[in-house]
Amino acid sequence: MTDTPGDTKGAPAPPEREEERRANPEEDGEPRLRRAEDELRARFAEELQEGEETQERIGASREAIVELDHVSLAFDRPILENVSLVARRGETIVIAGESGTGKSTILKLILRLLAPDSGRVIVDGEVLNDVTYEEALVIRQKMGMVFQGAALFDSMSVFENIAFPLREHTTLNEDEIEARVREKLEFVDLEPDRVMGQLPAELSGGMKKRVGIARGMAVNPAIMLYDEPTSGLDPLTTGTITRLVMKLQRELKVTSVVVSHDIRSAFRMATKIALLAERRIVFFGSPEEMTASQDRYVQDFLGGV
Amino acid sequence: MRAERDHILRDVRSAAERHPLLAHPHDRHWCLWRNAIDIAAQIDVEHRVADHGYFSSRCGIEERRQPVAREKRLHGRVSYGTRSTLTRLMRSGLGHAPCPFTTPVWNSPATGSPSRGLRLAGFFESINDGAKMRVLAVQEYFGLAAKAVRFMFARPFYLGDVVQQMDAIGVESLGIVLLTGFFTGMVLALQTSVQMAQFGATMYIGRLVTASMVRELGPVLAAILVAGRVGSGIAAQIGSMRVTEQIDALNTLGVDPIKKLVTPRLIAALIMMPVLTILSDTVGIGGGNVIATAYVGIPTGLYWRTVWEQIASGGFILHYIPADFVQGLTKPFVFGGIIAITGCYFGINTKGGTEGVGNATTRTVVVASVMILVVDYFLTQVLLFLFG
Repeated sequence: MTDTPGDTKGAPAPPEREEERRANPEEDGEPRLRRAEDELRARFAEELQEGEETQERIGASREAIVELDHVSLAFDRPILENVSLVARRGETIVIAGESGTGKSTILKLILRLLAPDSGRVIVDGEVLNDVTYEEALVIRQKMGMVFQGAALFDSMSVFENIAFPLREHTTLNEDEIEARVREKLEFVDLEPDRVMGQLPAELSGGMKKRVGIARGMAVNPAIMLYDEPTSGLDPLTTGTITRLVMKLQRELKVTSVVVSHDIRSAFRMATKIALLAERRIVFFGSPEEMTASQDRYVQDFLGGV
Repeated sequence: MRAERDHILRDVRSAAERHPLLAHPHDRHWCLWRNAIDIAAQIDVEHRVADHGYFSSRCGIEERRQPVAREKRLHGRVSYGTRSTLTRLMRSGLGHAPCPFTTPVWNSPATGSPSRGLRLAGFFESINDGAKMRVLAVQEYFGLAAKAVRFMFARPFYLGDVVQQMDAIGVESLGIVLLTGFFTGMVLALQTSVQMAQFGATMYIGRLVTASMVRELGPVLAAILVAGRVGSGIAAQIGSMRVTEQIDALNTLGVDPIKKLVTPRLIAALIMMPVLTILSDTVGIGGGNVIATAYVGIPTGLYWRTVWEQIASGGFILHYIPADFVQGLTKPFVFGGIIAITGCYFGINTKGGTEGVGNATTRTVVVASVMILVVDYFLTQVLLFLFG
């Protein structure tokens, strides 16, 4: 979905410009860009390779499941302007960009925690603009959200945290709930017997994130949303969490929307990357296209990594 | 001086009038006299000032869209009831237009020194905007209360949470409420004994202590203590849940935070406040008994007989229920509601990290205590009217 209306990815230059450019390459700086692209490819080779393999295995379908259609939002200042992006079933969209560009706001719009001033937000065929608060609560059950700080309920144990959505929205009995909690904890590589009784305050940052993921996926949602899943973690734990997100998309085929400024893990897991700058999407395409992009901002963003 | 003032008055008046000379703009030599036309050119600037003044009201509202945004966020995340008419008016009418002027009109260089009228306009405008924000806040407060009450009658009931909150609000406040109740009863007995001794009426200590404790001091003291201890706790807990995104997490897990957090606290406070008050009253009257017996020398039997006389003197409702008890238990019920809703309201509206949590806590205690005292007066008026 590179032809989104809001997509401002650099359009191909007209043929005559192209000829001029070939005739006078130095002036246009094309070799410099080409070199930069090769450099970037070389730098992110491993991540891109892994990403490709992941995407092949997933075999994302063409059916759109999350869609933002020309969305604008402002509070006391504009937050997002004319943002469009589409996630198809099984895809992983990474929303990258500098801090304070409205990345997390997109997740809140998808969750209908916020309503856009203009434009539409569509999740699984339902236009969220018009739903009531109560309907939004039901729609949210299709989505699992992993918060930046995990946002585990600190008055509840790990077991109760993961069991919470199950108790709220399913008719499972206690044994089934416990089995499900164990399954999810094992999925995120935590030992159920060791952590189930602990309180969130007793866990490390990486463990909290993993419990957060387990809670998000407890009701087997079709869409997983991650807000900075790797921020504030050491490189090793970052790798673990990234692999976990990929495992989730591979094995459970969930659609993921990840907000992150960690471009390395973005390349590893993304089907598409949306780059936000100044409230707008300046690039939306695959990681391959991103390294090939001649957009100055994209180059700068990748160069700064 | 007088003459100059007259000149000014004339000039301004004639400038404001639809002057016939305006039809002949070629008569420029009139200007040498500093006559109306000349002033009219300045008035042109003044008209722009008037326009600025108009726009400034837009700026004012634009700048103060914060409460709207906040309400919008609340609707998004927490959503108390329907969007307010005021908000809709502000949003649809004036809210979206970009503010064309960034500097306030009354400091605008075009106007020179600020005129008194404009300063007044700005003053009234800020009062107006402040009033709007307060109206919005009050509306949000009652919206939250209404929603919390409505959820009492809708599944699921979160009984576990209610019991846990009853423990936190009631059982854990027991010590402090009993201690203060006991000492209040003792000091009441002590003070009245000194006064009554002058008239030789010390045997009525029991009546006075009972009337004060049951009708006023028991409910109000217990409520203010609980507001300080429990109200602040509620605000701190919900406030830190807000800043650590736990309330957002509840929302994303498809659970209404008001139902999960506010309703159980409200139910617990509504049940536990009257219970605490009964205990506080009893202990207070007991404290009076200690002083009356040990210090004044009134036999315990006589003391308790006067206590009962006082209770019975208020009359009975439905033949068995003393009117004083009805009065004394209506108040804590209302105060319990005030404490729980105020704590939850400031907790949910917390912003700005840990500092915000601190502010929410302080505000809860102040607002809840003041509300308790003010509501107490009006409630007393109503109850006295109903039960004499």
